[in-house]
Amino acid sequence: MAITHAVIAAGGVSLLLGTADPLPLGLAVLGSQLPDLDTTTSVIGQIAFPISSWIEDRFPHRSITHCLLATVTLAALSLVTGYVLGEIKVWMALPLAHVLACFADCFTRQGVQLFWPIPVWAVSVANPRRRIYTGGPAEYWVLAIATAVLVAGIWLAGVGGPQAQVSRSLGLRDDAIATYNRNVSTSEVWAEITGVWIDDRTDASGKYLILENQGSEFIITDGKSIYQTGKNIIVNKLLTKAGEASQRIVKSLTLNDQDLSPVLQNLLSSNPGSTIYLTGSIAVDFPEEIQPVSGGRQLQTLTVSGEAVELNYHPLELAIAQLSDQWATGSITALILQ
Amino acid sequence: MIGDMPERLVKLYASEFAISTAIYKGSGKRFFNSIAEQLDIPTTEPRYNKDGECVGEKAMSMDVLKDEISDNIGPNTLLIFPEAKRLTTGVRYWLEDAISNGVKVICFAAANPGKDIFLEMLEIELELPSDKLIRETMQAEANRMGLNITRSRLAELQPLAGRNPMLARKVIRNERLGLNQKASPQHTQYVVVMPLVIACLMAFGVMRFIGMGTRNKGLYIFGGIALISGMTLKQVGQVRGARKRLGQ
Repeated sequence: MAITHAVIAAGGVSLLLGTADPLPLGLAVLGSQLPDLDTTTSVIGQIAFPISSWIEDRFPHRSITHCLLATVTLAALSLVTGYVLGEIKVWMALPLAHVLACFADCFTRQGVQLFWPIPVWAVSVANPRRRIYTGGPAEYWVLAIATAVLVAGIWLAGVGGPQAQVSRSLGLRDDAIATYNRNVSTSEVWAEITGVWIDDRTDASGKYLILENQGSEFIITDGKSIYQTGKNIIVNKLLTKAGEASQRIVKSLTLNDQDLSPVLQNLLSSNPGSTIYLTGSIAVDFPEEIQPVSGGRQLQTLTVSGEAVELNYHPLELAIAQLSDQWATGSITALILQ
Repeated sequence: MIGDMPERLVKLYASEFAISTAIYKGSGKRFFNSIAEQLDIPTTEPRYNKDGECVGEKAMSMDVLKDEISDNIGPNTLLIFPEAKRLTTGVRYWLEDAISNGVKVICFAAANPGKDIFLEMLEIELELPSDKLIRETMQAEANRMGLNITRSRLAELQPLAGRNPMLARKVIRNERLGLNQKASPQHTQYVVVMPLVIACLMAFGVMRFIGMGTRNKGLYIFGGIALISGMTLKQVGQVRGARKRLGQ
């Protein structure tokens, strides 16, 4: 049946090309009908009656239009059309659908002359009783399964394809990093973590905003403190999802024995409503006056060693409170989330 | 296709050889009689009474007939057998001697039986009849049976016949009885493409190795799952019921 071919081809194309766009799916439907151009009883045959009538008079059904040679011809035409229109991948849906429809017909009792002009009929299994006949109950099963594949294909295309969905379902770090890299420049990226705190192994599952990716780990925050996966939290599963639109600005500050307070205040006042984190290494005059927040589960974002102060995603407000009246030399990178 | 080729061979070589063409139809004596008559070899012998006087003629026994033909054929004789697969063991052994005596023999068969005389013969495989000829055969059979059949239906039915004229006629007879709706092709001009499906599945195996080599866990796991799922479906497709029907 024409509809079975259409659904099989559309489902296959959506899965193989990872698309849910109407144009390639429409081309898939068209490509799936082209094999039946060799009979005047088909829909496409009635539309293109002179062509189908001419073919019908000269060739058996399921021969010249059901072969790989026809697919190659279609592929060449699609390639040229796609190249001219700048949409090669989209136009590849046409030959792909054609070959899927022809291959599907191999599972019918009559088979197809897949290798025309070689006069052999390609069939799925040698026993004809194990093949389906057109219009029989088995075809409705095929139609139902193909419809499910089409729905799954469209859904998977919306979530990045089958492979991405498998990675996401399993919480693989590769996918989390890929999702982060794909979205971080334009939006917030959140981590849905299933895991435990490293100190007392109590449940740490929850939703955290990702500040940065470091290797295969993430610097994250719950709005109160900063944490690092693998260091503060043992992660069993980590899924990343894009959140609201957000702009991310990285600004470098070089300090040459300067008073830190006005520099940091200026940074705060010039970015109202933004969340700012500082990372870098500076040398200060009075390190003994700095009181780092220690203990707890959070990442140590400020460490003092002699005159050296190391900042690691240290919140700006906290830095202003801790580093006021200090004169500093060094460089700091400010991560500004707007 | 054999078609009218035996008749055409007879016409072609009529001036060069003494030709006989025969089809075995169950009776050895009739078969040899036919050969003998075409070669102008006597098929009767004198009948004698108790006193040794000739009182007429009687038909030769088959063994006598065989010997008589053997005595009268030679390098200038051409024997043509359009349905060579039917030839019985006795006929084939007789032909063995005939061939060794220089008699030219041409056998036509759908398949080479691959034994005794057929092993010694040169084999020429004839081309399949064209689609056009099969279509014409079907149309002619439909006309003969007074069946009005459209060109579209002929095109649909042709896959059931393959390139076999006998099946082409049978398909039309079945069509007349309405038996083609769920009919299975009986021709043997098919190729099973399941190995191609398996070969395509192996692409997921390749994907798995790429994932393993590039440390892409997603690709690795997806390739493995897809490959195993495909192979599982293939196994599920092999679920089968009874192979024989009641009484077989």
